Amino acid sequence: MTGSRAAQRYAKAILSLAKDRNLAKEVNEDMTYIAKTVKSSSELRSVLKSPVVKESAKMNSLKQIFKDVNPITFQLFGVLAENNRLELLTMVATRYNEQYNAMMGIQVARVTTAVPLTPALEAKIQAKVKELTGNEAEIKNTVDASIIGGFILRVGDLQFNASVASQLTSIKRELQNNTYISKI
Amino acid sequence: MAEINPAEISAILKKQLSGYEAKASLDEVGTVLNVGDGIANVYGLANAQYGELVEFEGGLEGIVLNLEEDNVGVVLLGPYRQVKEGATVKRTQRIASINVGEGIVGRVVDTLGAPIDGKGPIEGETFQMPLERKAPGVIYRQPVTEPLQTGIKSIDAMVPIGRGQRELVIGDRQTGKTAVVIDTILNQKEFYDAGEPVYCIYVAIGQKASTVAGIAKTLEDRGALAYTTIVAANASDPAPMQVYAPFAGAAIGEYFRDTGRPALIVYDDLSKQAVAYREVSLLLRRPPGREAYPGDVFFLHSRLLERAAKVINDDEIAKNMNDLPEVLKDKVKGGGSLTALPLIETQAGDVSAYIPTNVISITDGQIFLTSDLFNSGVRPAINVGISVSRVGGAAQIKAMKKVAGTLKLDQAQFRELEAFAKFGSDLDPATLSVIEKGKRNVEILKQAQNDPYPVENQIAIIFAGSKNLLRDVPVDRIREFEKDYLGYLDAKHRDVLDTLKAGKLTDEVTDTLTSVIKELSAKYKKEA
Repeated sequence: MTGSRAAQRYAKAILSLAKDRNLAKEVNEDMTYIAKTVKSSSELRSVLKSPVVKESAKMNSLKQIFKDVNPITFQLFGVLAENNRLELLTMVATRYNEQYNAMMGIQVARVTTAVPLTPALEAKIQAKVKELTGNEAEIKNTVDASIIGGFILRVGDLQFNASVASQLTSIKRELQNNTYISKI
Repeated sequence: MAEINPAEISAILKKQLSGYEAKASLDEVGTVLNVGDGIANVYGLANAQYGELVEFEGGLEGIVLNLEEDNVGVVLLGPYRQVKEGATVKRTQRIASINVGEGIVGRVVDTLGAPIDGKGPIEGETFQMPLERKAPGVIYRQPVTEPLQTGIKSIDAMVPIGRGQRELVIGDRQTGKTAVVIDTILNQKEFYDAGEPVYCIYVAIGQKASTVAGIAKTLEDRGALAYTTIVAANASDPAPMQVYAPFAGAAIGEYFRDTGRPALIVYDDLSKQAVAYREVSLLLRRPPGREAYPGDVFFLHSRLLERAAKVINDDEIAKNMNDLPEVLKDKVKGGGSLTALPLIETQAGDVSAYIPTNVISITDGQIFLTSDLFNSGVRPAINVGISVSRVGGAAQIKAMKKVAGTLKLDQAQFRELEAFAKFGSDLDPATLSVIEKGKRNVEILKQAQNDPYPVENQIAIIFAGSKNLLRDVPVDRIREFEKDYLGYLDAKHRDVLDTLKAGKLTDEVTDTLTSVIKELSAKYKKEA
């Protein structure tokens, strides 16, 4: 995908710079903040994406929006603007988060459930995560009624699907795949 | 379909559901970044392997073809409208493969082995054969010695094909390439009836579904579907399906080859496969090379055609063959073969285009079909002057070798002198005789479609031509004579034909043939 490799490299560079200055954690917070802000504002997203808006103008608005971020993050804006890559900003931010988590050994487990998790269930899920990956993880809960029941647990590239919806679809497929009733 | 009563239906459903285990699955997954033109880029899937099958939500499958730093490129094997950005993709841990068993014979399947002829699932035990497999190494092979009878006079006499050989069939559109290979498949019926079938696989790539249906019908009507499998990736199927169809066919052929049986595979045609591969490669953003084909299009064809082989006739050695699928290990026998007949369509006779030159250099010879010959009524339109078989005489039975030995030379001489004859000037008797003989040989080598000749009949008629015994028969009545002659031999001298079939050409046989020819041709002279 266009730019995804570039984003990976910017993120790597900025992480190593932040690490040298012992600011990795602060920059991580900045990045989370940036990713969240951009995601929540469609105007900002379209400004960043637009090839019509000059990089300097994008840069100015970013300076206004993210006033109190780290100087390192500020420098990232500058470098991206200079290289005409400001549209990659969100991607760089998420890649930074991932790389930072990998460096610190932090795992994020995303749990999708039909109803919000209770603390008791969360403990059970934590145990399941430990069983699957050997480490504990920070649990993030999303509620999605369309899975009907059960849960979908996703840690990195692993997915544990114990939702009612997925079981129903697999039963459906099982029955559908047997089109040859002539053999009855 | 028979009526089913409701009680039965619920019994079946119950049976199916009782066997169903509601278990949650642990999968390695990735997320679709973007999708379009039959290609999806997937973020994640860090452990995915090259060539692995992955599954999208809704059951659509794809093959991993690009491994990049942080994403993988997947070609989709079906309609991709349901695939959305952000959808999850599961690894299946399976390399692309096809289920092959004895039950696949007589069926029409798609690239992934799913039956598309509406005759129900493939029956019996099946084995998972990988689509991509390394060809047998040097020590597991032996030279090609047995003939693969095509039933076409000009091929069996002058460009003989051996079992385990790779012979290219090349020509413009509408020159009868498919007819040649279908005749070859039809001719294997003789061996099927004798209990030693040559299993045939017809791979249709990028053809109209109606054409494939027509071919299936021809084969079925002639009783040839009983030993033939058709692998079809039609023009309406996605490009990756067309790219992999020949590999699926080769995997089926390898099943027969490695279990010690002869098989014949026809790739109809590889130019379309190359075009489909070009499409996939360009969409995967691989750099285009000559004629916009990717750099590895030569390897695409060479690795496919290398899988055609004559396996060594020694079970012990064959058992250790490289790259054998686990499931097949205890079933391996030596002595099997896979003969490949790839087809290439040229544009206006241009054999120096990229794909034709590649495939010509890979194969062990080629059969050229030209539209000039086709239009002048020489059918099959095989240009024997430029057709060769690098295996040659080793793949002919002795009797045929003796009879047809001089035929190719005679015809070459004839073609040279024919040009003179066109000026209508006076010719000396020696030249005239060469021309007259040549004209008769051309007539003899003509043959109707779907009418393969048993080898003994071929020898008998070619004997008549090459010994110049048909001087008295007018050129335009040669076909008629042939019919009479072969009918007569079959009725009165079956023993002679049987001797020929056994590969022997004794003096006794030649005497009988000569006297029969003289007797019959005298009749034609009188009438003329």
